[in-house]
Amino acid sequence: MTEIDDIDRAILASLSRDARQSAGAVGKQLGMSQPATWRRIRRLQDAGVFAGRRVDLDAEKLGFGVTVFLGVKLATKGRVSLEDFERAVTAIPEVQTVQHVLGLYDYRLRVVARDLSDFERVLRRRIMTLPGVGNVEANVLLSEERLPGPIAMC
Amino acid sequence: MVIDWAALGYSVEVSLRFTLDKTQSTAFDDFQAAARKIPEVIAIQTFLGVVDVRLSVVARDMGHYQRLYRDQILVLPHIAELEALMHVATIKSAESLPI
Repeated sequence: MTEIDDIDRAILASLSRDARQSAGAVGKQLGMSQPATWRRIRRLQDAGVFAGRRVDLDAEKLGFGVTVFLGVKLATKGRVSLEDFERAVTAIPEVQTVQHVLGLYDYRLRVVARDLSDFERVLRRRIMTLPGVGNVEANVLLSEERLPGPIAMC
Repeated sequence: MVIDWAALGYSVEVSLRFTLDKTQSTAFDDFQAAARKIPEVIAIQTFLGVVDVRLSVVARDMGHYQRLYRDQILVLPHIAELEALMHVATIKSAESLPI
């Protein structure tokens, strides 16, 4: 685990708002020199704190008006069925994220579709036919808000 | 930039799914406003379906999570029902569109 201080937190908060900023630009906001800021960003990068960059696509403008979260319970369990299910589910293009969870469901899927009838097609042809799939619960996403998390103190 | 919370020592990630008491007309707004004030909440989503609101929460360990759950989550306004899913692994995370 990486120990970080308040300056690191401020750098993370700034970069998580906009990842395209240069070290100089981030430093300016915090009253720090470009090289000092760069060294800190580099250190955070080396520690694996950045999982990647994300371009926020406007799914609706691209014709994907519906996002649905599915809670999937497997009907049969065992090592083989988990692997089969995971392999098949990750291959579906409409499935954006797959999370293995503990609780009421085994997996949580984020699915995008053009509209509700397109979603029905994905659900019937692709999801319900997955190997080992049991109970499926669907919730249609109405709004989504990403927060900076426990780094935002400034 | 997407932050790897585990690399910062936040090894626990939990999905909290809420149904709210919808007899209160301000339930959603009150709930969301209060949830935004909890630093460990990294996302708020609202739904049409069985679940009304989902919060993604990160914590350093189970002890931290338990304190967070008792002191900050359970006191959120208008909760009718609440259930938790603990993240074990992310199998796929490609927020690309099938264009």
